[in-house]
Amino acid sequence: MLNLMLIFIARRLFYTLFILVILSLIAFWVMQLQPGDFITKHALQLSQETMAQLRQRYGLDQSGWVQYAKWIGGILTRGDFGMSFETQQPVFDHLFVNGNRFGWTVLLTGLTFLFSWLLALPLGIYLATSAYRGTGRWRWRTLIRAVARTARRFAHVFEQQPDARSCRARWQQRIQDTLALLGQLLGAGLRWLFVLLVNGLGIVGLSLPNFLTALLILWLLVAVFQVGANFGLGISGLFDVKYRTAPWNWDKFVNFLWHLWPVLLVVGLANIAQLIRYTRANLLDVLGEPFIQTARAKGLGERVVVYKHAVRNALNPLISLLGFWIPMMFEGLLIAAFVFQLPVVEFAYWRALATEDQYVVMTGLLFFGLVLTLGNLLSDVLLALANPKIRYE
Amino acid sequence: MSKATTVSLRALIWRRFRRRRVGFISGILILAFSLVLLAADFIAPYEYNQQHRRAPSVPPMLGRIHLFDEGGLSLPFVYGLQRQRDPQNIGLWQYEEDHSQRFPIRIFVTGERYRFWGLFETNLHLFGTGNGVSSPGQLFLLGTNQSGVDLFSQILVGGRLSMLLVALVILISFFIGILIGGLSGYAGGWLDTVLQRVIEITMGLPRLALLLALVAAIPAEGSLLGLNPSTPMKRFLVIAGVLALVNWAPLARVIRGQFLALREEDYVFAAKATGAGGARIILRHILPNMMSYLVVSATLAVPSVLILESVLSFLGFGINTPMISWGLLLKQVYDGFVTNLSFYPWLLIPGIFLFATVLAFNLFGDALRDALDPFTVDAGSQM
Repeated sequence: MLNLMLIFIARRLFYTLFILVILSLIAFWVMQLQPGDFITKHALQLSQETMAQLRQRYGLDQSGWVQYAKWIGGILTRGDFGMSFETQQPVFDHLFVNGNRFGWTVLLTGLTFLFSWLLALPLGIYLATSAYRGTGRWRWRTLIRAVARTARRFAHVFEQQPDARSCRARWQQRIQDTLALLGQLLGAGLRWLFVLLVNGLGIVGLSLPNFLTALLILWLLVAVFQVGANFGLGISGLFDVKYRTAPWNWDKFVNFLWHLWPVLLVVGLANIAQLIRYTRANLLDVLGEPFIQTARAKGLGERVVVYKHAVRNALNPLISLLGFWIPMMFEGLLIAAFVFQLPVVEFAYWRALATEDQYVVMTGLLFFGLVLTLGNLLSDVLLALANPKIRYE
Repeated sequence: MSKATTVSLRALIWRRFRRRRVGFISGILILAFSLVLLAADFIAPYEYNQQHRRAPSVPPMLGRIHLFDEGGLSLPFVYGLQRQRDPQNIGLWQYEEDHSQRFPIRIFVTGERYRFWGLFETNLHLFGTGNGVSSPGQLFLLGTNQSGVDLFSQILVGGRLSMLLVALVILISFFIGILIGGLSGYAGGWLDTVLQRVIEITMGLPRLALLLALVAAIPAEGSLLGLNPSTPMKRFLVIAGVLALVNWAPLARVIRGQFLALREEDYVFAAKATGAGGARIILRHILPNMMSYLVVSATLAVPSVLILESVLSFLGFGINTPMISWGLLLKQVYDGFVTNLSFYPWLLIPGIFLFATVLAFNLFGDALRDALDPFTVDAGSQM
């Protein structure tokens, strides 16, 4: 079993390598499409000697294949991914090390992951198990039925019944009952409204492009709350200017949180919406299965049935969502980084595209391809671990 | 005593589709909006790039169309725009209504010259005040930007461009997808294996990153594979091609699956037995049976392609001026967002259009998918 898995992983790793080779070829070919060699565009920033040196090192005055071979050779032998023409640093430093870009990318991605799953899973489970789990007309009917049921249960409040208790006690009882009735009705209404809202979030979140979310948040912060003038808070970056170089302390942490929430929303909203919908649909499917009926028939509590039997089985297919989740995360973080000027790898990639910093673009493409294929591999392995029925092929 | 009636599949689908009220309404709205977009530059009261130097940053005038005057009900009219400096914010303008001047809103007016679909030049517009650029009597339904360009006209023309691009991308990617998926699924054998690997590798590429690199590499001048993308129209076509290039693979994969399943159907065997060739079987027997599926996936592909195009334009690598698209309009809001969002919030209106279109297509596609599967039990009635 384990052996099979190892072979499977080895094969997939080989496959990843293959994809990277293809990607590097595509990246190189794309860059070759542009007129002139890599350096001519950056003639203003670079001195004559550096240009000659670079031409020599990367073979820029030779044919495309030689250039490609030199680039790949540099990566394999020296770990040299080329040079960023904008900052005149090695690409690896420029893309990952400087300003701790890689660290921030990992941190922001991880936080968004936690945020979206921790928010979406309970909401999805709630939607699938709440009394108003139907759609459209059916939700209305359930609401009306719930109200009618509550009213029936409290019918005795309004009826005159022979009672041995004193008048005062009877009235006390009635007031108590009425309040309880109102409370229950209010609760039903609120729950209904909540289900409606979360369902709306599921649809709206999917239809709201990331950059529109970002613009709306900007509009709220800049125009509606005017956080700059009112509270002296900044919007761009991960910290306000005065904290950027300061060592970590409580104030800086709070400031970080302030800059974090728009990023979480921009990157996570579409993800949350999708997760809510998937969780709800999967759980509803599983809850209709015979083994759930059996579990209920055994007399297990509803909580045990839902969380131990249903949710576990409903979450299995969600693992394969990881594969979709990585590109979504990349797109979201790219937009967030562009709008809020975050020091992450995606922003460096965008900058490199805008300034035609070719080696950075090519390395960036390789990096994103690597992350994507490794993520797919991880999701496949997890899926296989979670569900022994899946064969390795 | 029930009478047995037969209902055709089409009637069954239509019946089920009409029952999904939200999806049905979305479909009607999409149809209506598409018709509007088809005649975008005729319906737009202004030429979409015309700057009105005397009317920069006019707030939306939708609420300033008057139907009543002193004499009671009248035909719709607007008052003249009176511009004055904003006393609080230097460099900004305020607009008041000048009640001494009345301009009726007329239909079929002559206005700014434009080329209808780039075919013939005309100056006929569906509605407007019919006044020149410098006249105070203007009808900027959704306001203007800082150079006095009418936002409503830009939204219509930009929407047409975006939807054209989406349609083109979907056409191309469906063509590639059907070709490769069909070949792979129908032929089988080693060809299937090779094409499968190609599809897998294409799907394993980082979509947006690659797309950005490809689009950013479209040279501003010079030639690309013999094509000169320096003219806006050609750049548009190249962008459409590139978008299709990153979009076809998932489609090809499912089409292959469909082909694999349909290949084994009895009617295909029957066709084979009567001596029909491969092309005939694919075109006359398999594809028509996949039609409903293709229609649904095309509808559901619209939102993602539309968003992708807007993202490209928003990041500055997509549609460029003098062309206009919703993403580009929103990018123009982002450039200098502190001023724009604080003082000209109506510039965000293209975002509402984008959101509404994506939402409508999502709802419409969902309803269509449910309706096209007439033999499943209605999800609602299970409860």
